[in-house]
Amino acid sequence: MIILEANDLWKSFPSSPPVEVLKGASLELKAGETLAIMGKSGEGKSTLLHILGTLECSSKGSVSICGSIATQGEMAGLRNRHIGFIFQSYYLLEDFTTLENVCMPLKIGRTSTREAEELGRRLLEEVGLKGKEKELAKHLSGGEKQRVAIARALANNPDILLADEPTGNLDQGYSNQVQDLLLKTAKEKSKGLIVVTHDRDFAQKCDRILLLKNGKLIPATEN
Amino acid sequence: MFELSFIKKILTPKRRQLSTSLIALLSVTVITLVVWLVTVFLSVTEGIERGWLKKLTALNAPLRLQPTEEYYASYYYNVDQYSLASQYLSKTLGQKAQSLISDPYDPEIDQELPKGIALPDLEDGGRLKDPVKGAIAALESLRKDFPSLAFQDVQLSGALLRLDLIRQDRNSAVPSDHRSQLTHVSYLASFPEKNPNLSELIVPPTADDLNHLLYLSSSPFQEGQTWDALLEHVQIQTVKPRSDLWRISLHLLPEKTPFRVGAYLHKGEVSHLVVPSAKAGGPSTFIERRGDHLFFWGEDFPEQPLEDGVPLFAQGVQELNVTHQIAEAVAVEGKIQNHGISGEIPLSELLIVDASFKTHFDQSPSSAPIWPYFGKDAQAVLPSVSSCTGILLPKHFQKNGVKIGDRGHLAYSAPTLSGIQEQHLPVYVAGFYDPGIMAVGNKCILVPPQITEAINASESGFTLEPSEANNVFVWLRSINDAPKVKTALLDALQKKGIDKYWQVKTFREYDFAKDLMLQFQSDKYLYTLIGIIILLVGCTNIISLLVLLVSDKKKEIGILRAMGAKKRSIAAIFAFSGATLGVLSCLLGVLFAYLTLRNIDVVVQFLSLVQGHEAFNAQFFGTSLPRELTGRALLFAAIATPVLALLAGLVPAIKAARLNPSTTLRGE
Repeated sequence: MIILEANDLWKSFPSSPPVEVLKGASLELKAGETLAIMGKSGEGKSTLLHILGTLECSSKGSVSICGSIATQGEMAGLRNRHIGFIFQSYYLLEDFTTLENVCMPLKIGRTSTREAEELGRRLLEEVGLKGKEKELAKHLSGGEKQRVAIARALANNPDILLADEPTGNLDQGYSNQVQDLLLKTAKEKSKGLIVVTHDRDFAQKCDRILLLKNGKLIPATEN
Repeated sequence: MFELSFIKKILTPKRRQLSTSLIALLSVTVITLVVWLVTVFLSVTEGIERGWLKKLTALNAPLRLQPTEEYYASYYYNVDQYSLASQYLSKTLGQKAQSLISDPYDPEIDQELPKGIALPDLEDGGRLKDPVKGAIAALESLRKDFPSLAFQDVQLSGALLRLDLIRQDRNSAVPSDHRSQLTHVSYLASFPEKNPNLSELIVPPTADDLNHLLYLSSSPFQEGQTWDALLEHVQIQTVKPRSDLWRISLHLLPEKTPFRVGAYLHKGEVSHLVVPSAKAGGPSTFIERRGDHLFFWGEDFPEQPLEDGVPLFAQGVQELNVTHQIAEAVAVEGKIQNHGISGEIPLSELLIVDASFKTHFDQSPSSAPIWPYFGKDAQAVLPSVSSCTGILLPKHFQKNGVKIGDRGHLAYSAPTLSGIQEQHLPVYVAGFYDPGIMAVGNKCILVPPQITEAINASESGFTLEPSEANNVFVWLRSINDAPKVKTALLDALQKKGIDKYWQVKTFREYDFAKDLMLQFQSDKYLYTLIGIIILLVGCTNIISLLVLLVSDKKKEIGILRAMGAKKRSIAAIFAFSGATLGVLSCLLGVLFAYLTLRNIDVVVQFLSLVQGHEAFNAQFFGTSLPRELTGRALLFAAIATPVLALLAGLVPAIKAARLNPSTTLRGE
């Protein structure tokens, strides 16, 4: 079942002359499928991921998430229900505890506090952070922070996980742990996973690899 | 509500965010100060206004019925001048209300009516309409809805007051009297005994008045009341000797108690003894009473009995407590050299320091006090003494040295057979009252209605607008009811067909108060406007704070948006952060305002100290500023502050909501 479909995405940034980043990029993602997007720095991988995650609008083309076309008004709700983000810089709320961070998407979706905390504790246990619920995010190590970010991305039970260089700030040991955790979770929970990465080994572990080149997505095997 | 937890986090001061924390603290401090200032200011000004309105309406009444020109041109009013039954005299509203017949004219007896007189205004049944009795009935009927309503007709007149001020001249070597005269052109108003505020308006007699009354009654210049009669309704609490050196009876001293004493010798014999009231220091000679005799000893001579009749004086005794009164003497207790003394002393040797005066009686007293009192049903009574009528003067006369008991007369001109002659009505000062705020406040004397009737009937040349000279005053417990009562009264008068004879005015429409009312109104609007402007300036701090916060929390805003938070949630976080600061400042400001108002006298003293002169004119603002936190001030603070703070938070909130999450996150 296709859970994410991007058709002919174009994106240009205003400057003189305008910078065309995407020039008709298209992709499809099935439930439980893991997809790596690779490309040179500055090719627009993060921009593509943000467009797929409805954080940004494309200049042309459409994104369909679980059958719904992302439009301006619908985007926040779609994000909250269907998408979980994992960023290279973790982007945790530093002054909140790990549990509060994990529960935040649930609370945004108006889940009751009791229910949210119950689920949050379970997710933290799943990512191996049991007992760190009350620790402030700013006091965690990089690897722990990224685990909290993964737990947070899973909190609303989204269909799609979008990871932007999730291991970019981690050493090799933590990096492997996070990669395995992400891929295992995607498979076990049948989530679609798109990873933007420079790490060829990580990309190799995914079902498919797409290369962003000259604003278009092409299968890596064609290169 | 994730928004609330976010508001809590961003508003909690942190060392890491020192600048935002300091600005937040500054914002709260500034708004707290503004709320404090505005609340105190509004409360005090409103309190002063309330006090003034109370003063304005306590005597003048919040509502008046004034006869119109049509009333004075009517057959009903004018016919009395041509009727024997009315003794050919126009009647006051009070006399009209009491008269048994509405139309006193009898064509059989009375002369023919002049052609100019208006035609009688008749009811359907042919009877003459009675505007006064009709108005009284209308007012009575309003008591159902307004039980506190009280009314009475009040007359104004004018006369020359002359008072003889007889004072004891204590400076002369031989006790003597000093006489002077006070002359004052005065307005007279009939004593409004039904005014429910009278007990607050009448200034109670003082111990000074009582000393004066006792002095007058023993003065050869003036025939006074007996002391028994004067003291019947007085309870004397404390007295003091008339002079520092006070001759005492040896029986006041306790037995077998030694007193240090100064002995004065004349030709080797003790001429008199002085006992100082203080124990420490002084002479080292002593006396002791044993029975009816005094014994005397010193350090250098043995004890010896003193001859009877050696004068004994006490020096410096300041206060003696009265245990009970016995006719013209009092039983006292006091202390000399820390030893208790007690005994009976004639009042003539003493000055009264403190006394309470009975002014309220359950039954009409058999012998009335000479000051105004409240008899059965709390009805006020202005007494008379023999041929003298009691009058009440505005309280400033008291400050100028006039005392209760001073006698004199009211002079006015009246036509007699031999021409215009000055007439004298003997009067005495029965008391003083607080005139509050009224056009002729400082010149208006309250007199029994017979006096105003007599002077007005004499056509003495003292002229007032007829509509002002005789009104029905209507008092209400709450002056805010005045417009409602006015409407109901006009309605009732209209139903009786007598509305054309009456003009109903509330205190806001009184000619002499109009300007004051307008001033109050414009002051109120001005102060509120100033308050809002100051508050607005205070709230701009919130804008600065929130702009800084939005800039500081861009990453967090991006994270929340990535997790699916809607724009309006982000806007709400920052808008309500502003409102929260507003509410917090408001609570603190109101608390400080409450504490300030509770201690307003200390604040005034402090301001006076700083300025080097009185901060507030007592004549204008009263002896003490209002200390009550008023509802309007509280409402202003409770609504205006959070609303303005919320509005101030809107601009940064909209800015926060419009942030592009993608740009924000990539920027980080």
